[in-house]
Amino acid sequence: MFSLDPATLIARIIVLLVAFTIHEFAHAWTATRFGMTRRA
Amino acid sequence: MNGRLTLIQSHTWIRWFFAVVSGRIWLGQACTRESLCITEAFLIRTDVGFTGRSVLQLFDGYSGGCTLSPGPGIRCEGFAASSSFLPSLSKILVEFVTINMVLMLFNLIPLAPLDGEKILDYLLPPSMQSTFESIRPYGPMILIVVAVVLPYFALTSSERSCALLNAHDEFPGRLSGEGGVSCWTVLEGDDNSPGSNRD
Repeated sequence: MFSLDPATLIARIIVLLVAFTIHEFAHAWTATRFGMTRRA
Repeated sequence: MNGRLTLIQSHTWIRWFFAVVSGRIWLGQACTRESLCITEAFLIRTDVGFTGRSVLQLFDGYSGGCTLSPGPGIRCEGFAASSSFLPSLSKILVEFVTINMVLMLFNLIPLAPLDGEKILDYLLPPSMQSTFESIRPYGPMILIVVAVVLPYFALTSSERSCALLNAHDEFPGRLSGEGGVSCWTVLEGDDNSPGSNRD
């Protein structure tokens, strides 16, 4: 399944780090905008 | 089969859906020689304004496998196995678009831990809320089944290539070279069924 060359693997790690960070930030940003001020 | 697979034909689109949902589009794709890279083909078709150059070419000169042939048509053979340990910028861009598209579709599945569940929760009429509530605890379990079982029924990578090539056949600027569409038989990774035909 993961028969990847190193370049592809590194590219995907970089992409996933950026993507997950922005995704989770969007959740937090939305919650803040809806008035959540502390951890649920 | 006459060597053509279309997205609409039979139930190919269902298997395409299975492939996307289970993440096979990028896990199985691997962009090896002679297999069409979907995102790559899309990006090289995307001209940047008046420059007449594709996004990928502007990015870093682009060393992938898609070439713009004279006249309408693009031929793709995927990214060649990189001689460098580090990925090129255009390769990262291709991965970025592909992975994010797959993540978006995957996240829209309306099962418990995923974001699609919140969307469906909002859209469902009140009468169906309780039914939805009752299957919520089983969401993760159903999701695991989906992720393990659906790939088995999904398209092989070569079938995806053929389906995409033929889908684009209806539009000006085909993805294939001269004449008709050619589909290669590609054996890669755990895709061990040939699946496609040569025109």
